[in-house]
Amino acid sequence: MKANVFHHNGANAEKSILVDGSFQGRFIENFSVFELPLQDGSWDNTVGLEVVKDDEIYRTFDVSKLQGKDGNCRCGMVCSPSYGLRNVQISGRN
Amino acid sequence: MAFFYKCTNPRRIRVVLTAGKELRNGVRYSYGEFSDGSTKFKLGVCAGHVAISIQQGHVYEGQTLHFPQKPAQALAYLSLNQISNSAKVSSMQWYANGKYVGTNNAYIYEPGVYDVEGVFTFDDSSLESITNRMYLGFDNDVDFAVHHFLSDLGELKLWMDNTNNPFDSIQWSVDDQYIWTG
Repeated sequence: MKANVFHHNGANAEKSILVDGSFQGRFIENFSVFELPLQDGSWDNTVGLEVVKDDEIYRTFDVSKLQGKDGNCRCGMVCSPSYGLRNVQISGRN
Repeated sequence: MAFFYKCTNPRRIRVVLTAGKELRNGVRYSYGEFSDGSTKFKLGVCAGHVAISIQQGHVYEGQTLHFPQKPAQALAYLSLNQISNSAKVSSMQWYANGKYVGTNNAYIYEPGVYDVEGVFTFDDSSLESITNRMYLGFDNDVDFAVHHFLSDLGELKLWMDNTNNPFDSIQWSVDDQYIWTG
Protein backbone atom coordinates (compact mmCIF):
# COMPACT_ATOMS: atom_id res chain seq x y z
CA MET A 1 0.00 0.00 0.00
CA LYS A 2 1.17 3.48 -0.79
CA ALA A 3 -0.13 6.79 0.53
CA ASN A 4 0.69 9.93 -1.41
CA VAL A 5 -0.13 12.91 0.78
CA PHE A 6 -0.54 16.37 -0.73
CA HIS A 7 0.08 18.99 1.94
CA HIS A 8 -1.40 22.46 1.95
CA ASN A 9 2.12 23.95 1.98
CA GLY A 10 2.87 22.42 -1.42
CA ALA A 11 4.80 19.44 -0.13
CA ASN A 12 3.83 15.96 -1.08
CA ALA A 13 5.29 12.70 0.08
CA GLU A 14 4.76 9.03 -0.45
CA LYS A 15 5.00 6.42 2.24
CA SER A 16 4.63 2.73 1.71
CA ILE A 17 3.68 -0.16 3.91
CA LEU A 18 3.61 -3.89 3.26
CA VAL A 19 0.30 -5.62 4.03
CA ASP A 20 0.19 -9.37 4.49
CA GLY A 21 -3.07 -10.64 3.06
CA SER A 22 -2.27 -14.18 4.15
CA PHE A 23 -2.66 -13.23 7.83
CA GLN A 24 0.76 -14.62 8.70
CA GLY A 25 1.97 -11.40 10.26
CA ARG A 26 4.53 -10.70 7.58
CA PHE A 27 3.73 -7.02 7.24
CA ILE A 28 5.97 -3.96 7.43
CA GLU A 29 4.95 -0.53 8.68
CA ASN A 30 6.31 2.67 7.18
CA PHE A 31 9.74 3.89 8.20
CA SER A 32 8.75 6.90 10.30
CA VAL A 33 9.86 5.12 13.45
CA PHE A 34 13.47 5.21 12.30
CA GLU A 35 13.72 8.99 12.10
CA LEU A 36 15.47 10.47 15.13
CA PRO A 37 14.73 13.90 16.61
CA LEU A 38 16.76 16.68 15.03
CA GLN A 39 19.08 17.97 17.76
CA ASP A 40 21.75 19.95 15.95
CA GLY A 41 19.70 22.45 14.02
CA SER A 42 18.23 22.27 10.59
CA TRP A 43 20.36 22.52 7.45
CA ASP A 44 17.69 24.58 5.70
CA ASN A 45 19.35 27.51 3.88
CA THR A 46 22.76 26.84 5.38
CA VAL A 47 25.89 28.06 3.65
CA GLY A 48 28.63 25.81 2.42
CA LEU A 49 32.18 26.94 1.75
CA GLU A 50 34.77 24.79 0.08
CA VAL A 51 38.38 25.73 -0.49
CA VAL A 52 40.89 23.69 -2.43
CA LYS A 53 44.51 24.69 -1.84
CA ASP A 54 47.64 22.66 -2.51
CA ASP A 55 45.51 19.63 -3.31
CA GLU A 56 43.94 19.74 0.14
CA ILE A 57 40.21 20.18 0.49
CA TYR A 58 38.70 22.30 3.27
CA ARG A 59 34.94 22.36 3.55
CA THR A 60 32.20 23.31 5.93
CA PHE A 61 30.32 20.20 4.94
CA ASP A 62 32.47 17.95 7.05
CA VAL A 63 31.63 14.38 6.23
CA SER A 64 34.48 12.69 8.06
CA LYS A 65 32.01 11.17 10.50
CA LEU A 66 30.63 9.14 7.65
CA GLN A 67 33.88 7.39 6.95
CA GLY A 68 35.16 4.28 8.58
CA LYS A 69 38.78 3.55 9.40
CA ASP A 70 39.11 1.97 6.00
CA GLY A 71 38.24 5.29 4.46
CA ASN A 72 35.10 3.91 2.91
CA CYS A 73 31.87 5.76 3.22
CA ARG A 74 29.48 4.16 5.67
CA CYS A 75 26.19 5.56 4.52
CA GLY A 76 26.30 5.62 0.77
CA MET A 77 27.05 9.32 0.49
CA VAL A 78 29.64 11.04 -1.58
CA CYS A 79 32.62 11.21 0.76
CA SER A 80 36.14 12.28 0.11
CA PRO A 81 38.96 12.92 2.57
CA SER A 82 38.64 16.49 3.76
CA TYR A 83 39.22 18.86 6.65
CA GLY A 84 36.39 20.49 8.55
CA LEU A 85 36.29 24.24 7.95
CA ARG A 86 34.85 26.37 10.72
CA ASN A 87 36.47 29.81 10.48
CA VAL A 88 37.63 31.89 7.56
CA GLN A 89 39.91 34.94 7.57
CA ILE A 90 40.59 36.75 4.32
CA SER A 91 43.52 39.16 4.24
CA GLY A 92 44.76 41.55 1.60
CA ARG A 93 43.84 44.68 -0.30
CA ASN A 94 40.59 45.16 -2.13
CA MET B 1 40.22 24.34 12.16
CA ALA B 2 40.92 27.81 10.84
CA PHE B 3 41.96 28.53 7.29
CA PHE B 4 44.03 31.57 6.35
CA TYR B 5 44.70 32.59 2.78
CA LYS B 6 46.75 35.65 1.94
CA CYS B 7 47.73 36.74 -1.53
CA THR B 8 51.50 37.28 -1.13
CA ASN B 9 52.55 37.09 -4.74
CA PRO B 10 50.25 39.23 -6.87
CA ARG B 11 50.51 38.26 -10.51
CA ARG B 12 48.35 38.00 -13.54
CA ILE B 13 46.28 34.90 -13.21
CA ARG B 14 43.23 33.58 -14.98
CA VAL B 15 40.35 33.13 -12.58
CA VAL B 16 37.20 31.46 -13.75
CA LEU B 17 33.86 32.12 -12.09
CA THR B 18 31.21 29.48 -12.47
CA ALA B 19 27.79 29.25 -10.93
CA GLY B 20 25.39 26.38 -10.88
CA LYS B 21 23.24 23.96 -8.98
CA GLU B 22 23.92 20.45 -7.88
CA LEU B 23 22.31 17.86 -5.68
CA ARG B 24 23.90 16.99 -2.37
CA ASN B 25 22.25 13.91 -0.96
CA GLY B 26 19.15 14.80 -2.91
CA VAL B 27 19.08 18.45 -1.76
CA ARG B 28 19.49 21.33 -4.20
CA TYR B 29 22.71 23.25 -3.59
CA SER B 30 23.22 26.54 -5.45
CA TYR B 31 26.81 27.70 -5.67
CA GLY B 32 29.33 30.07 -7.14
CA GLU B 33 32.92 29.05 -7.62
CA PHE B 34 36.16 30.92 -8.27
CA SER B 35 39.07 28.89 -9.52
CA ASP B 36 42.45 29.54 -11.08
CA GLY B 37 42.94 25.88 -11.76
CA SER B 38 44.81 25.03 -8.57
CA THR B 39 43.10 27.09 -5.86
CA LYS B 40 39.34 27.04 -5.60
CA PHE B 41 36.76 28.90 -3.53
CA LYS B 42 33.26 27.55 -3.73
CA LEU B 43 30.39 29.15 -1.83
CA GLY B 44 26.88 27.80 -1.91
CA VAL B 45 23.54 27.65 -0.16
CA CYS B 46 21.42 24.61 0.63
CA ALA B 47 17.75 24.71 -0.25
CA GLY B 48 15.16 24.97 2.49
CA HIS B 49 11.84 23.18 2.86
CA VAL B 50 13.25 20.38 0.79
CA ALA B 51 9.99 18.43 0.67
CA ILE B 52 8.38 21.19 -1.38
CA SER B 53 9.41 20.42 -4.94
CA ILE B 54 8.20 23.61 -6.62
CA GLN B 55 9.35 26.82 -4.94
CA GLN B 56 9.70 30.44 -5.81
CA GLY B 57 13.20 31.89 -5.93
CA HIS B 58 14.51 32.55 -2.45
CA VAL B 59 15.94 35.96 -1.52
CA TYR B 60 18.47 35.83 1.31
CA GLU B 61 18.95 39.58 1.66
CA GLY B 62 18.88 40.65 5.29
CA GLN B 63 19.05 37.12 6.58
CA THR B 64 21.81 35.69 8.68
CA LEU B 65 23.01 32.48 7.15
CA HIS B 66 25.02 29.90 9.02
CA PHE B 67 27.51 27.21 8.27
CA PRO B 68 25.89 23.84 8.87
CA GLN B 69 26.80 22.02 12.01
CA LYS B 70 27.84 18.46 11.55
CA PRO B 71 25.23 16.33 13.31
CA ALA B 72 26.69 14.96 16.50
CA GLN B 73 24.20 12.13 16.45
CA ALA B 74 22.64 10.01 13.79
CA LEU B 75 19.62 11.40 12.00
CA ALA B 76 18.14 7.99 11.40
CA TYR B 77 18.68 4.61 12.96
CA LEU B 78 17.47 1.93 10.62
CA SER B 79 16.96 -1.06 12.85
CA LEU B 80 15.30 -4.39 12.33
CA ASN B 81 14.66 -4.56 16.07
CA GLN B 82 12.38 -1.50 15.90
CA ILE B 83 10.02 -3.22 13.50
CA SER B 84 7.00 -4.37 15.47
CA ASN B 85 7.01 -7.89 14.00
CA SER B 86 10.76 -8.31 13.72
CA ALA B 87 10.41 -11.93 14.84
CA LYS B 88 8.89 -12.65 11.44
CA VAL B 89 11.95 -11.27 9.65
CA SER B 90 15.04 -13.47 9.30
CA SER B 91 17.26 -10.70 7.98
CA MET B 92 17.12 -7.55 5.95
CA GLN B 93 19.26 -5.16 3.97
CA TRP B 94 19.07 -1.39 3.95
CA TYR B 95 19.69 0.81 0.92
CA ALA B 96 19.78 4.61 0.85
CA ASN B 97 19.38 6.22 -2.56
CA GLY B 98 20.22 2.91 -4.14
CA LYS B 99 23.40 2.25 -2.19
CA TYR B 100 23.77 -0.53 0.34
CA VAL B 101 24.21 0.85 3.87
CA GLY B 102 23.82 -2.12 6.17
CA THR B 103 22.32 -5.44 7.14
CA ASN B 104 19.65 -5.39 9.85
CA ASN B 105 20.94 -2.10 11.32
CA ALA B 106 22.31 1.06 9.75
CA TYR B 107 22.79 4.71 10.63
CA ILE B 108 22.43 7.83 8.50
CA TYR B 109 24.36 10.85 9.76
CA GLU B 110 24.40 13.30 6.90
CA PRO B 111 21.36 15.51 6.17
CA GLY B 112 19.62 14.88 2.90
CA VAL B 113 16.64 13.44 1.11
CA TYR B 114 16.84 9.69 1.03
CA ASP B 115 14.82 7.01 -0.65
CA VAL B 116 15.35 4.33 1.95
CA GLU B 117 14.63 0.80 0.83
CA GLY B 118 14.33 -2.16 3.13
CA VAL B 119 14.66 -5.61 1.58
CA PHE B 120 13.15 -8.12 3.97
CA THR B 121 13.68 -11.86 4.10
CA PHE B 122 10.84 -13.32 6.13
CA ASP B 123 10.85 -16.48 8.21
CA ASP B 124 9.29 -18.43 5.33
CA SER B 125 12.19 -17.28 3.05
CA SER B 126 9.89 -15.00 1.08
CA LEU B 127 11.46 -11.74 -0.04
CA GLU B 128 9.71 -8.35 -0.02
CA SER B 129 10.84 -4.75 -0.18
CA ILE B 130 9.36 -1.32 0.37
CA THR B 131 10.80 2.15 -0.07
CA ASN B 132 10.06 5.26 1.98
CA ARG B 133 11.38 8.74 1.37
CA MET B 134 12.99 10.33 4.41
CA TYR B 135 13.86 14.00 4.89
CA LEU B 136 16.70 14.04 7.38
CA GLY B 137 18.35 17.07 8.93
CA PHE B 138 15.95 19.55 7.35
CA ASP B 139 12.66 21.04 8.47
CA ASN B 140 10.12 18.29 8.08
CA ASP B 141 7.12 19.50 6.11
CA VAL B 142 5.70 16.04 5.59
CA ASP B 143 5.65 14.56 9.06
CA PHE B 144 3.15 11.71 9.13
CA ALA B 145 2.93 7.97 9.61
CA VAL B 146 0.72 5.41 7.88
CA HIS B 147 -0.91 2.57 9.80
CA HIS B 148 -3.11 -0.36 8.87
CA PHE B 149 -5.30 -3.02 10.38
CA LEU B 150 -6.43 -6.14 8.55
CA SER B 151 -9.47 -7.77 10.12
CA ASP B 152 -10.19 -11.50 10.14
CA LEU B 153 -12.80 -10.79 7.47
CA GLY B 154 -10.15 -9.35 5.19
CA GLU B 155 -11.25 -5.75 5.65
CA LEU B 156 -8.28 -3.42 5.47
CA LYS B 157 -8.35 -0.21 7.49
CA LEU B 158 -5.76 2.45 6.67
CA TRP B 159 -5.09 5.68 8.50
CA MET B 160 -2.39 8.24 9.04
CA ASP B 161 -1.36 10.28 12.05
CA ASN B 162 1.34 12.54 13.43
CA THR B 163 0.95 15.11 10.71
CA ASN B 164 1.80 18.60 11.93
CA ASN B 165 1.06 20.14 8.56
CA PRO B 166 -2.42 20.55 7.06
CA PHE B 167 -2.97 18.43 3.98
CA ASP B 168 -5.38 18.65 1.09
CA SER B 169 -5.73 15.03 0.00
CA ILE B 170 -4.29 11.54 0.13
CA GLN B 171 -4.02 9.19 -2.81
CA TRP B 172 -4.00 5.53 -1.89
CA SER B 173 -2.66 2.87 -4.22
CA VAL B 174 -2.12 -0.88 -4.08
CA ASP B 175 0.77 -2.43 -5.99
CA ASP B 176 1.17 0.93 -7.75
CA GLN B 177 -2.47 0.84 -8.89
CA TYR B 178 -4.42 3.91 -7.81
CA ILE B 179 -7.53 2.99 -5.81
CA TRP B 180 -8.87 6.03 -3.99
CA THR B 181 -8.38 9.69 -3.08
CA GLY B 182 -9.59 10.97 0.24
